[in-house]
Amino acid sequence: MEPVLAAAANVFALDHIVFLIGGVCIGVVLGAIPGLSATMAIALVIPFTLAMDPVPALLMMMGAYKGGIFGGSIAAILIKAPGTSAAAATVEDGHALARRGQGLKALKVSLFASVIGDTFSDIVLILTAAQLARVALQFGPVEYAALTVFALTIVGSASGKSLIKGLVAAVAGLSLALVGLDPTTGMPRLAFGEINLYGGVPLLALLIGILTIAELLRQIEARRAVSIAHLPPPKQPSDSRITREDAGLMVRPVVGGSILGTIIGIIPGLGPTLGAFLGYDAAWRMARRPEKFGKGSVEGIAGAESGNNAVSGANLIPLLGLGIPGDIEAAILIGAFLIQGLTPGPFIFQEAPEVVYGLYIGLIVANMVLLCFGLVAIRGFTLLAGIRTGLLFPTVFVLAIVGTYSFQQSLYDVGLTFAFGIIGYLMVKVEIPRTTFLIGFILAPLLEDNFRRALQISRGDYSIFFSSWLGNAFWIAAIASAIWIGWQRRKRAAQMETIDRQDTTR
Amino acid sequence: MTGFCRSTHRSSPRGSSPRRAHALGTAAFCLTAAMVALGQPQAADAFPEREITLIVNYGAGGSTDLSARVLADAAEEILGQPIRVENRTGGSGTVGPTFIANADPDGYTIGVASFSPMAVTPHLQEVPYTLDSFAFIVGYARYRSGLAVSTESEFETLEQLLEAARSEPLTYATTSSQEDVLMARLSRATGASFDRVSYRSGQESVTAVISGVVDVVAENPLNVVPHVHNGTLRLLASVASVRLFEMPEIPTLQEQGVDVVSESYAGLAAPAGTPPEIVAVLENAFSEALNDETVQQTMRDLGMEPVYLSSGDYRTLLEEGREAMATDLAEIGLIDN
Repeated sequence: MEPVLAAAANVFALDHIVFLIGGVCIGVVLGAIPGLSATMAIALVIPFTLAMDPVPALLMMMGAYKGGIFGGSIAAILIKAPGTSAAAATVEDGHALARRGQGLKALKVSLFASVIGDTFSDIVLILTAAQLARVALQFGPVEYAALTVFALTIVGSASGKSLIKGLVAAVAGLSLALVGLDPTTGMPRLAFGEINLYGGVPLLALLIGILTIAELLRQIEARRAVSIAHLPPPKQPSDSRITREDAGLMVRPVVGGSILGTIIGIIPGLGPTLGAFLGYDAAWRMARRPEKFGKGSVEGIAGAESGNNAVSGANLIPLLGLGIPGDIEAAILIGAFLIQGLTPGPFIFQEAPEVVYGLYIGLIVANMVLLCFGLVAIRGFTLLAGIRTGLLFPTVFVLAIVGTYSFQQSLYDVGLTFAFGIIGYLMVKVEIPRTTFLIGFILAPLLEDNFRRALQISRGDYSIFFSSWLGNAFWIAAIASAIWIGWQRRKRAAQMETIDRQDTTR
Repeated sequence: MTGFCRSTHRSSPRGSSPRRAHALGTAAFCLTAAMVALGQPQAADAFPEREITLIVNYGAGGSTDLSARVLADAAEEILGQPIRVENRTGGSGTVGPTFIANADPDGYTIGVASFSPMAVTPHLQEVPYTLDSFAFIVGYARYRSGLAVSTESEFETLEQLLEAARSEPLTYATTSSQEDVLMARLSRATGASFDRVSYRSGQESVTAVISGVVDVVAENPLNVVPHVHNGTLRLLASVASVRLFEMPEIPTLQEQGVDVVSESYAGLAAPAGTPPEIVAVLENAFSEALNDETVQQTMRDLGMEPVYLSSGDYRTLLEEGREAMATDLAEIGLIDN
């Protein structure tokens, strides 16, 4: 008990709590700016933490990470520009609500789902870090490949009206990810001798182009008078609140998103973006209002946002249990541990229990801070909605370009962003879903790397893919999921059509 | 860590030869040489008069980036002008050197030109530069690696590992062709055989060995040593020419009777054509910065061993390394020869 009390005293020391709050605030604000990601928020905080004690240093970084993932949804909802890739799943539904004057409601749903997902994940971490960490070691190339195929079935729920178009877009996304260095030989592939493409197409340029720039192009096309506010004001008080009905709708997706996000977090290398898409998918499958998906679904936002935030705490499970980072953010945290002279891994529980407990307590406190600061911040950010489009969109444009450029100081990336902007605009015109394109692009490296790795290990023998019980379980899950989606789509097709006929907001 | 000294070595004449060896380049060279002859004394005396940009070819937060930043911090005070570090990443670390090669040769744009993009990657990809595109300033650190297996494997010693790999091929996790070359050299020297399994990061490949997916890995001590302390990995040998300072009780491959060495270096370069006087000013400043105890400690914390190589020595090392790599890469079939 003593180390727990000492750790609590340490976390609540005035300067430490200030660092924690500061981390969360920086994260939310940076996350909200298109192009600046949660990873960047952490990277930006690192220099401040070098001279600190381990606990405040780690908490400031974790605060920035949690804040960053939530912050991403702010821009996604208000200006249809996801601040981070983890918010890509929130864009359609969040912005659709905002266009009806319900921006504040959407933001609150996102905030509460994020905080609940985060807290659930942290509790799992606290109770089971040592035991669950072994799960990370169960995942070899075969298991990852099968899991990725299973994850690809979410294309079914993200496809919108036409499954065919959704699949076409997903395949295009998978194919685009082939550009760059061949992961097994290190030779350039499909780069056409262009050195800037050797590293592959940067996700950030793709994301900002296809979502943000495309949206700006659509706004130009709409040719509204410059004096009109970007978003309509709320029509009734319930537009800005989470009503009892909304809360009821949120329960199932938040539970689903939190659990799925936590599982994704435990498995190294997957990350919050996949957590968000899986959370959204689960929400769609369990939906009580399936017709609202893609057009302003509270359930969709709740699933996606609890899904991505739930990754953050669970990410620390393999880190603390085995010394293996769950994703890039956790890898940065490893550096923070090492700089502090601590080795993340099973022995840290004996070597530095006060740090571990401090981290645990701090994570929960950070969630509370995120909730409080989030409630203030979203009020501030919704003022954006009142800004005239003529002022707001040029600002968004500049931020988007600066964000793309600053990622690797490359004007080439800016050019790519414009190209993807045009592609994204055309995709909207012919109603090809951009979400499934992104899912394909994001999952492709995971699939290809592990598929080829498995074959390297088996020396080209394909039977390796059915050699493990966990892998086989994922294959079965993938098939079951595909069948289920086919069945659900058919069942809902009729419903959707009637709704579409009434729905004119587009 | 002996051998640190302030160097008075001037960069070799080759270090300032033209970037492209065609007629136009030669003409440009004559012109540059004329300008150098006319305007140089003042220029070198006054250098640096303004901010210097230092290009890092890997991402912010990594070992190469952080070590370059501490070095730049120390050199800043010596030079009396700020040094701004800029990350130009991508293309397996070749985008940064490309940027340096194309910068104005005035000493105000310099950057990291490490072993891999200088001596290894050019064999595998088309790169728009050669060693002649640079005036090398200094070599400042050695990247080392340790050969490790899982503690749950039956391999207690290097000999046991090699013995097993002689009867049946084992797998190794790799992130770069340099590791492939190492394992090829190891196979050639010992008659063992190893199959490659590729990973994107050192941490991923280390995880693969811990979880038993892959048998062996040769990785940066930063990724290996914590797991040795955690009891999940066993270090069998240092594959560098020296023992790992993190675990000095483990001998090198050579000390264990296997004549194989694999190590890599980080160094700084300016564009070819940078006046030798200016290169000398930079070389002096950075070698003095490297003498700083905090700089050395930070590098060690980042898993790099501070090592001083004069501009001439660094260039020679890259030239020889590049040759050796060509032979080995051809042998393992990654390139035609």
